[in-house]
Amino acid sequence: MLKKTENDEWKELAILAQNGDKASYSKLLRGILPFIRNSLLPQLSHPEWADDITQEVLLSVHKSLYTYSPDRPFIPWLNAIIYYRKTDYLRKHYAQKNDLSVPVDDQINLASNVTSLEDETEYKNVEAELLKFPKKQQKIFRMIKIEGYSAQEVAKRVGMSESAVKVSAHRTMEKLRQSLN
Amino acid sequence: MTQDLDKLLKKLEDDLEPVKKLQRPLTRAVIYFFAGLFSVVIIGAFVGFRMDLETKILEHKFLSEIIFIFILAGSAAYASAWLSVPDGSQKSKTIVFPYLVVAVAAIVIFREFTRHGARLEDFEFHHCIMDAMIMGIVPIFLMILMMKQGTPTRPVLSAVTNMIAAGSIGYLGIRLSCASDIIGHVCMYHIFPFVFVGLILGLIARRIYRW
Repeated sequence: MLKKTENDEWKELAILAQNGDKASYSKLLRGILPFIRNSLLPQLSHPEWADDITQEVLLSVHKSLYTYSPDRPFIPWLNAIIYYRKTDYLRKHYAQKNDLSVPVDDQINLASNVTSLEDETEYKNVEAELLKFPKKQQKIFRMIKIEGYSAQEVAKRVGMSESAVKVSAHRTMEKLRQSLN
Repeated sequence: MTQDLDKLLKKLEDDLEPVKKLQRPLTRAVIYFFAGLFSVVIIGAFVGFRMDLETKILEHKFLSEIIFIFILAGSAAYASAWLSVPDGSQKSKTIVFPYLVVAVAAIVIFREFTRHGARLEDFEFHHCIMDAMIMGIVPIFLMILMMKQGTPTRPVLSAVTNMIAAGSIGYLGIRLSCASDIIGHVCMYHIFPFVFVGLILGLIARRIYRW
């Protein structure tokens, strides 16, 4: 006898759930849960989103259970809902420009951007120290060392010679180093 | 499994009630398509059918056009009915078919333009635009209603397909009520209003078909 595939099993459970069988519905939801997570995970850059989207998918399965027809296989029906909810979630996320803002205390962000995790709070001290410098010196340092402008561009912007800008940035860096050590 | 997910599963299980299954796409397409056609006939009777309809309907070219649009409207309504269920977009042949018919229609229109010239007059708010809107409003409403019965997962594609269906039904009505067969007039006043509404519907599709 042929072994029942997940598709056949879920199809049968979905039909029973449509008739109000709570036990079958429970079995169905608990059966599709790892499937939903596993199909989402490789498609997401942040694994923690998978839980949010999984919840959305489960709610959608509940809402649209009446649209499932036993004439058709179950998995493509479920996949269509997963795809729709994933796209919707990502669209909202990018529309709110959430991808462009990262909380400074985000552990994942720190882990991928800070070389030494013991020093993960150091950047706050740098900011505090930098504020002690004259405004023009701060501006030159920020533009060259943080924002990535060239010395020539900064020189034009602040109305100084290129070498004077380089010296200023270098001195600020040295003083920061001394004060932070 | 996280606590949130566990709670959600329990809640969903508790909330389960027996559901009334959605009718088959073909059944729903037939119901909404003929309801749309019926509305067009009723409105056409009020607006008034073209005077030469009796002789015109015997013309091979006119009759072919009506049959062609009938096929377009029916196939788009059927594709729309499929798109109203989550896995409906996998019926690719059913969904592509009305778009192929639209492509053929575009070629026919282009050929008419090159053969006879557009003979376009200056654009004005012609009564045909208003008639087209009146003819199209019920089919559009019916198509949206049909979609809202289901849970579409391709909202923009659904909206455009709905508009092809509703627009074709409306176009049938306007062709039976307006006596002008000039291709420029037909495009500008009989087709363009539906294309315009279709674009708007496409833009707001995600809001309309949210579920």
